[in-house]
Amino acid sequence: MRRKGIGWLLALSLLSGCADQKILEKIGFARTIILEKAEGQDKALKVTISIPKTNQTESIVYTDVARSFKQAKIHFDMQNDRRIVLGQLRQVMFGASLARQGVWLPMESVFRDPAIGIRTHVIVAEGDIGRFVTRKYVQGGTMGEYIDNLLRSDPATRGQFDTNLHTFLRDYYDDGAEPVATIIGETVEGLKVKGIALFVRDRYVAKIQAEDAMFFSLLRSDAKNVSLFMDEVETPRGAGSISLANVIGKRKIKILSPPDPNRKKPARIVVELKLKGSLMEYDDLLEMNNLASQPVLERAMGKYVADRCERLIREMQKPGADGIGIGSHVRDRMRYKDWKALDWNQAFSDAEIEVVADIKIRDYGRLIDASA
Amino acid sequence: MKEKLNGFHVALLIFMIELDVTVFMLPRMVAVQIGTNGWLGFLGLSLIAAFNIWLYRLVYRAGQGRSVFDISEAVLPKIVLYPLYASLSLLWLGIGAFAGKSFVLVFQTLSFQTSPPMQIFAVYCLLVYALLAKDLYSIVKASTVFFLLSIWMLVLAPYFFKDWSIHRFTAFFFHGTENGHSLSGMLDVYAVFIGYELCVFLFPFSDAKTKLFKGVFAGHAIITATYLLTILVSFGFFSFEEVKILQFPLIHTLEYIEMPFINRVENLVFPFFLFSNLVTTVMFAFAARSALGRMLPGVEAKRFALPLAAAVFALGFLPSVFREAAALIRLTYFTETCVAFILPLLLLILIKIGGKTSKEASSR
Amino acid sequence: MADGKGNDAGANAAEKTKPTLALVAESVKGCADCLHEKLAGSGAELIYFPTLVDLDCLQRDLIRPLSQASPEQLNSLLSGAPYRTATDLKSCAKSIMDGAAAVFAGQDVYLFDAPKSTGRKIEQSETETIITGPHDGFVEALEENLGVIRKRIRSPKLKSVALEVGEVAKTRAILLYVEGLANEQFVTMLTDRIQDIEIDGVSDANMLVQLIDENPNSLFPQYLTTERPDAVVSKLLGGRIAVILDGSPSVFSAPTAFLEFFSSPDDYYQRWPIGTALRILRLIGFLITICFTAFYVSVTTFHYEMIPHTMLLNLAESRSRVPFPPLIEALLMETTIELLREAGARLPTKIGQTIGIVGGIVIGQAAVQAGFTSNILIIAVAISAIASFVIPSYIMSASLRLIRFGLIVLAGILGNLGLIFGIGFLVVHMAGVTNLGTSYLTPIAPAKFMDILDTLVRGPFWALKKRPSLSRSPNKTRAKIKR
Repeated sequence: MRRKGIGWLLALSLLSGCADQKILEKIGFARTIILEKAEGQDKALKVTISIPKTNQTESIVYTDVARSFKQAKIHFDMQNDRRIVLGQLRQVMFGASLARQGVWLPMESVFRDPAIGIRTHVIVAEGDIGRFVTRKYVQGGTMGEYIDNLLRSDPATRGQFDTNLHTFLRDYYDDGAEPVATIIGETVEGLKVKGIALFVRDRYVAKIQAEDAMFFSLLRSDAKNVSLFMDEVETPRGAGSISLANVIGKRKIKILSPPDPNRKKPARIVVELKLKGSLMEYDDLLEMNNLASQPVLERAMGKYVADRCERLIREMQKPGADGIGIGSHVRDRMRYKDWKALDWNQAFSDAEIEVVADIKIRDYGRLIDASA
Repeated sequence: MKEKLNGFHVALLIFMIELDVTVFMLPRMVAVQIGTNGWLGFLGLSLIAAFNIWLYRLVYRAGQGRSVFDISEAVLPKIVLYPLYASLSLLWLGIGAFAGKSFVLVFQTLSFQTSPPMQIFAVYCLLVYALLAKDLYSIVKASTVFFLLSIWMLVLAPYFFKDWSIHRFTAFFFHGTENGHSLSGMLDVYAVFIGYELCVFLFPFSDAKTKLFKGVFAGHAIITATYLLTILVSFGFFSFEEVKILQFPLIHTLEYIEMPFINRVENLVFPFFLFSNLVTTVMFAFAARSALGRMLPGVEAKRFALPLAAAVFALGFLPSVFREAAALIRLTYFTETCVAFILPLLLLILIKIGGKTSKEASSR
Repeated sequence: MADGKGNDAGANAAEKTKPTLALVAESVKGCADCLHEKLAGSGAELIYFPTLVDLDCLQRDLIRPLSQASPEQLNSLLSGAPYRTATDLKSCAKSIMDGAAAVFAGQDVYLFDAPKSTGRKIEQSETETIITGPHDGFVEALEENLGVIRKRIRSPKLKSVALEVGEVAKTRAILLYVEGLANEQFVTMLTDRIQDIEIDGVSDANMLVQLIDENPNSLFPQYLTTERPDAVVSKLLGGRIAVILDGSPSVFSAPTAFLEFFSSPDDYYQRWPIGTALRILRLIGFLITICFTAFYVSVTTFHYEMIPHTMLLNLAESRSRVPFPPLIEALLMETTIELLREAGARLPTKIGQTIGIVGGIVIGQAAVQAGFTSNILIIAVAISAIASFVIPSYIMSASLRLIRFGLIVLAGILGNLGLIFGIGFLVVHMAGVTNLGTSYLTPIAPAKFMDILDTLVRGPFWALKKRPSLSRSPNKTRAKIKR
């Protein structure tokens, strides 16, 4: 039976062409797609595509202005010596100005293609993106690989959360959350995570500075191995900076009361953070070997984190971009009709949101105290 | 065959028959037709299916394990039954063919986009033939192994835990459907259960010891749990509105899995669904074989394999694009759902009449 | 065969014919190695094959006493043991061929059994070596093999049925089973099947099993053949039936299921977690050996998305110099490996090593550098080859290697779906295979949970209380160990 089957299959394979073969060395896999606004042209996109060469340090870059991403891809196919495929795409980068205009149409074209993995990173790029792709990086490899590794390894700004096609689309469709994306910009040494882009629907509306990004990650999900730097922690002995490493913790969103637009009552929400980390730097703010002073320091840090997070939330409230998904918690407390009638972006702007942070020092490294 | 089917194997068989191409769309169907927290409604539908199985159990008890054909032929003349057999056979072959063809078409959205689908379907039919040429006992043995080759996928479910949130379920119940709740919508979802009714053809292969219906109920329970897991993963992993617009939510979830040595596992995991589809097609074709075998008692069972596989292949020509396949699946599965409910009721009536006539006959 | 048929009538007549010197001499006529002597003292005449009899024994126990005796004493001397009277011509001729000397004393014919033991001594099996456990292996001589088993099962319940295979060769075979443990139905079934074989001769047990299996066209071996006495003994105690064929160092047991080919007797000599790990390792080896290269072909031909991006460029680089598509590349390399293996098997050990070195350099280094294959494929092929040798049964391992080629072709045509189609065909095929009417897929289908403890894994002895259900033993309990 088997051998007969194989015979049949061989016959069939002879009949069929090899159109669907994607033999490794005969295809060019795009690593990065960059989508920008075409200057001075309406309804046009500037599309750049980067295909790494097999020597691992160079890449082929094509740029084109076209009506859509797919049209540009056809143009690239006309130039490239290998068929361009998108299955190994790692990043979709949007120029900041395009992102401010709205990314839905190109986004839809990317997401619809079943070849493209839904783990592809979504990035908003600042600065002269054309240079990003052609530049040489001391970090080694091509830009695509560099960014990919950067986004995986960087705990300082983003904690553990990932901004990829899946999370973007998921939050885009979720009526209780708004999508976010990582912002990447250029420095002398290479590229840098410059912050987090807040979206309302598909429009990039506000930016969270890189310094605040770690606090944003605390608000967005449970902290897993985040590094926190606090520059002005107020203690009874004066203000100073503290650095906490390996922070893990829980985030809890408590809805004290859901919004009631009829009675003009805004939502009242408390975000509770419970964090634990290793103290890595502190300006001799208190005597650490005095057991009573540690809770004082913890409280001081808690207040700092809460204030910082609240400031962050105010910033997010201005454009009404609920990047941390408070809406999905509020939704749990409302009736369907009320929720549907509610404009959550507006309600988020109006909401009274308080942050409470409880920080515990797990350990303080090698030294108990600096002076003494 | 003298050998009887063990309840355990019946359970796995029922699992494999029920699991077919419809599972890829299941979370979307539930979201669109039942709405938020649709998994609860889905459980309700599963209970309805369980009730239907219970009806079959009544038939089994009342008919004392006689086969459907024996029951109906005892009362109705062959001239009434034969057209019925023929049309049911056609329906079953259609279900088998369309499920198989849809599987191929779904596969072609992932890779082999430009290959002629009928070539791939031909290989599928070859497998159908290979399996159909065997007796039921061998089919069940193969389906047991196929079950093991399918069930391991559940191990992938914990992978999504990290990106899963209960808040995406929302606290609303059965809201947000596309166009309210309709019977046809419920039938759309109910179609995933279709297949359990084939237990009726297992009557001759079971006796009191084999616990046929324990197996059927167990199989239905396992499949319900599996479906439920699929729905729960999708609903917590995607946002509700997103599930409603995703073509195959199940495949999208698989796409997310990335391991250090392998990415995009949907390319590897998806083909494993071949087995459950295959068992579906083969068992429906087996049902057709049983019916046709009744009409042509002189023909050896194995002789049916080639013409039936050829018929499945021929029916596969009907849908050429996924839209048509989906429409045909809807049509045949709806019909089959009706058959699934009418059949036991009809049989119960026939047993009643048959019982009377035989009693009368014996009293005279 | 034709010869056998033609002689049927003659054979029937011969049964009744009383053997005489003339008739016996006639039957061995033309055999140059046959000796016909007349003893000086008693005047008795002897016919025997010096090649078949133990000459020392013959000299001591037959020729010397008979030479010293007078003709009158002759009949009384020969009437008791160790001499026996030959009653018919056929059995007389057969006994001579078995290593007896025929003594003609007047009208009467006596037989003296002095078979010479030929062949090698019991030594370690070369195909199935193990580290711990008994190191003896079966040899070509049936008596030796039977003796080794009898020594291990010292019970009169170990029954043996003498059979004969081959119409011309008339090779002896012994069917062994333990009374009360083995299913009598299987014993009759197997006896009948062996008796029904009509063929000139059978030279090895591995050939015999192909004549009696239910699925002659299957790729899979359906009887487990082994050269290890401890394996056969454990099968016999498990209620199986074993058959020894004279002239073959392999003994086969029945009924057999697919997974039995993956267990080795030394699994039981290890602690059970280690034994279990070994079993699982072999199953992984099984999967690797049939699928790994096929998967490589499928991924590099159709599913480039699946390759992790860190590996992708390396792989593409290595592939870029290869002129063949992955399918051809893989088939070429697999064929090369098979060539090496076959060449190594045919050559004496010393030259075999050279083959290994040449092969290692050629396929390891030069092929990649010359742009003949990609380095990842070398790894895939090598791992597949190594994995295939993990399987204890050489016959099964050879079957799997052939299946691998089928799957590679399928993967080259339909990618992962082709691979899965191939596995589907395998499963469908195996679902139809039976051995003495039992399912080849036991204990997976039909599922026997107790058996899984002793097939997929090697359970602790306190858990292995039942005999394998496959043997349908009338006595199901094998151990009464309490934890």
